[in-house]
Amino acid sequence: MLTVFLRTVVTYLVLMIAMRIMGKRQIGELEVSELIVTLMLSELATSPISNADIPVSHAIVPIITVLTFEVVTSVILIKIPRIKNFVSSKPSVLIDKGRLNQRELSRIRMSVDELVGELRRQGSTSIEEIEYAILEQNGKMTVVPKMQYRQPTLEQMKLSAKETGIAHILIADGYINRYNLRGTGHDDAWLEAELKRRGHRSSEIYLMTVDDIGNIFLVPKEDIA
Amino acid sequence: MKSFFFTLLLFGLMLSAIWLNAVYLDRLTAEMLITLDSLPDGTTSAAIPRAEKLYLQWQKARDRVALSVCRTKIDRIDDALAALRVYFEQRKTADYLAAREALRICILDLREDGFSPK
Repeated sequence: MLTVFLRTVVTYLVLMIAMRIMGKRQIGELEVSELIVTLMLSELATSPISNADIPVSHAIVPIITVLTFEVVTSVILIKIPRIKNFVSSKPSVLIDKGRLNQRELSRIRMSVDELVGELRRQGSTSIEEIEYAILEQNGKMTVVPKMQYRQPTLEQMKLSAKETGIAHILIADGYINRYNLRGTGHDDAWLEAELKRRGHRSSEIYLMTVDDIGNIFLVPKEDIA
Repeated sequence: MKSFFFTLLLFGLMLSAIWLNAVYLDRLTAEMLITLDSLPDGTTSAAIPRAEKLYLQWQKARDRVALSVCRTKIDRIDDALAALRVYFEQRKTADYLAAREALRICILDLREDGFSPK
């Protein structure tokens, strides 16, 4: 039992390092090669955990090998884009300038029911409203409505609004994020002053954010015990 | 690019570890085969120190070998050594010789995990 436990710990750590090196794309949107690598890694990792006859090194070696191939392949694809066509599929334009591309739908073996269902999922009630529908390389669909069906922008309505940027987390569950604090141009003294003005200490704060124009959002901790 | 170079470094370290492990297995199996060949053909007392040496060679290396070799091969060598010892103590010469040969095959099998083919 102890052996199984130790094997699990070692394999988990190696997998964690491997996934960290391969980056966020492995966890989020996957291309075909990335999906294959992820599936392989899961298979490679579990074999020595469940089978004591297989030494742990028989999992670590293939994991590192697969990781190396994936990273090297992704770098090569960046440096030599022409090779990417052999490895990755191209995006499929299913609706082109409002016109349904039946040949492309047939080529990728997608039925019109599936297309309409996907459009519905993205908030479009009719194909007539769509200018472009593109099936991306990672399997997700991009839908661009026709101009008359798009949400109007502030610019089109001749309105203006302040750019607030994004909210940067300064305190999360009582812990001060000094990286973000310095990144927003503030320091500990400023933070302390802001908290004091609101009658709080950092340890009492569940969430505190500040956006790019200085708006502060603060949520004190609740007593959930 | 940092992750790229780190990956290459990790890959290089892994290849080095594989190579060093293969060299180690090669050397270990060669030494064990030499000791095994030095065992006399009969169950005489001259065999005792050499058999002890063989046993200690394996015990010293066993845990390290277990990191890279399947349990089946390790168990087979353990069983072959145990059989060799039992037949020697019981003075069953024919069985002892057969056990010695079986151990040789197991060591050669282990040698496959190094550089040398069987």
